[in-house]
Amino acid sequence: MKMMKRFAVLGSSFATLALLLAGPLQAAEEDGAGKVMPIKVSPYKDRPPENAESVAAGKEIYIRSCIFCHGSRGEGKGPVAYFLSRDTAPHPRDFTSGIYKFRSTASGELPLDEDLFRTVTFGVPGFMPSFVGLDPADRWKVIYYVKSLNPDFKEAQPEAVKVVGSPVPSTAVSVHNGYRVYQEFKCWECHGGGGQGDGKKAIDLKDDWGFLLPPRDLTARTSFKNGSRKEDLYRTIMAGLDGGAMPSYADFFEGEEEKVWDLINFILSLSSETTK
Amino acid sequence: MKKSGITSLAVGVSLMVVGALSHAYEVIDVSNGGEVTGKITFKGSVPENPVLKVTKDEDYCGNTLKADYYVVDSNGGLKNVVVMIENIDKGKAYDKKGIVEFENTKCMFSPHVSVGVRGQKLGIVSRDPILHNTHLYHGPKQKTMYNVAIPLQDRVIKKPLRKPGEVVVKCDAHEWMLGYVYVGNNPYITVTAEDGTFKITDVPPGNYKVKIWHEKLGEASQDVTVSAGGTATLDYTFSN
Repeated sequence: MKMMKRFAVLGSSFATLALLLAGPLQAAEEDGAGKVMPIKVSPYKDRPPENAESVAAGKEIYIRSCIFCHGSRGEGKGPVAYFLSRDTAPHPRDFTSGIYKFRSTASGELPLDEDLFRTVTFGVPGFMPSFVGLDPADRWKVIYYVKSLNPDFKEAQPEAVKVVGSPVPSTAVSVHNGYRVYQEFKCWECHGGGGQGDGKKAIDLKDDWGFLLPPRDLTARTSFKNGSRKEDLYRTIMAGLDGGAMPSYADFFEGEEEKVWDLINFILSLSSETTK
Repeated sequence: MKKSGITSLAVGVSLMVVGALSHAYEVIDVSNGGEVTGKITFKGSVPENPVLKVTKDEDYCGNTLKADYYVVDSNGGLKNVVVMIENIDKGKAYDKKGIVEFENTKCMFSPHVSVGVRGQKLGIVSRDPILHNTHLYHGPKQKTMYNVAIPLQDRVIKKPLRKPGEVVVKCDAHEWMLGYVYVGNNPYITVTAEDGTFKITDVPPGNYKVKIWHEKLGEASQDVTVSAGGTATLDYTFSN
């Protein structure tokens, strides 16, 4: 428990650092204040081509920056992984498995390059540090290398789940409607009536590797692994988090996506922290 | 509005995958086809189906449920055995848009074992007033195929069956729930009835390898020769 806390602290300081560093970057990505970029991180103009040369360059960066957790073969079994998570989830991602949590694509699909770019850039709060300190071109190269560890990336052409509508202001009405969606779509059965991750189904949820992975405490938005911007939550709810228990809700919200934006306002109303 | 981006994406990807394989199934006119029929039996003392302890939603699901891994009738007929012809790449037409029905009902999956053809869809529905999720796993490493929430009752959602082979279905919310969908490369796939019998029709004459699969008892391969308009009998017995 103590250890977890320490990592949480470490993680949040990374997150703070990332936010500080990401300031100008994010502005560029969001394409103007208030407008929600569908999930995508805009491809940088200086994005290098994906070829044998850039993959090889990416491997060099990987060996410097990623190998300690993700391991020399990309299986998520680097020397540090043992200390991070011996018997708890999540483990560092196994890049050979093809299962990715942080996607904007349908459940079961591979992520977009932009999804990987976002994770490398922002990190995973509490777990993976932000690598915003790497030059964007280097981030792309390391992503190319990571993709080369799973042959499925060659064939697949994943597409983003369509973003329908856009965030609505967090009015009392919207939050209340969101609360009703939280009840109707039974989010509370895992995340708990008060959103603290203590629902009746929370107790033994596991990830694909058999490690306990409890539902997120929704009252602590800085710990949302897939991000806590409204568009991040949209992505999490609709695409799910593959490899864990969080399923995709895209089919059930189809045609009434406005409910998702209310639900997001409700979820964010559970925590008082501001992340922007 | 009904056709989502995800669905068309899924269809697109499955088309692409099918296209990439050189031995995709081809529909031809089968006018002189034969049949393969038979009975799969179990000999010996039938292993007991474990009692599943309900750990959540006891008020709805009850405190215990009975597993349905071994369903054997008084004559030894074994239910839920998948029988399929493996080496056939040309044959009868089938409903490419077919929906394989898959229910979450009374905190169990029904049917426990079902079959489909690659490219068809799984029609998932919940009959229960509680949250389910349908989480499919595939391949030797049991990788997630997809994981969808089923929060509302009686609404069918259709998800693609893209990859051939054994698909294990679980519900994270209720860890005792277990089901199987066996996806064939061709439509010559079926599952045995209560009495262990099965029938595969409109098979072009020829020599085939038939795969017989049971979730707990493993799999077997049998050779069968189908003549024009004839009936080939294939019986097989599992034992412990």
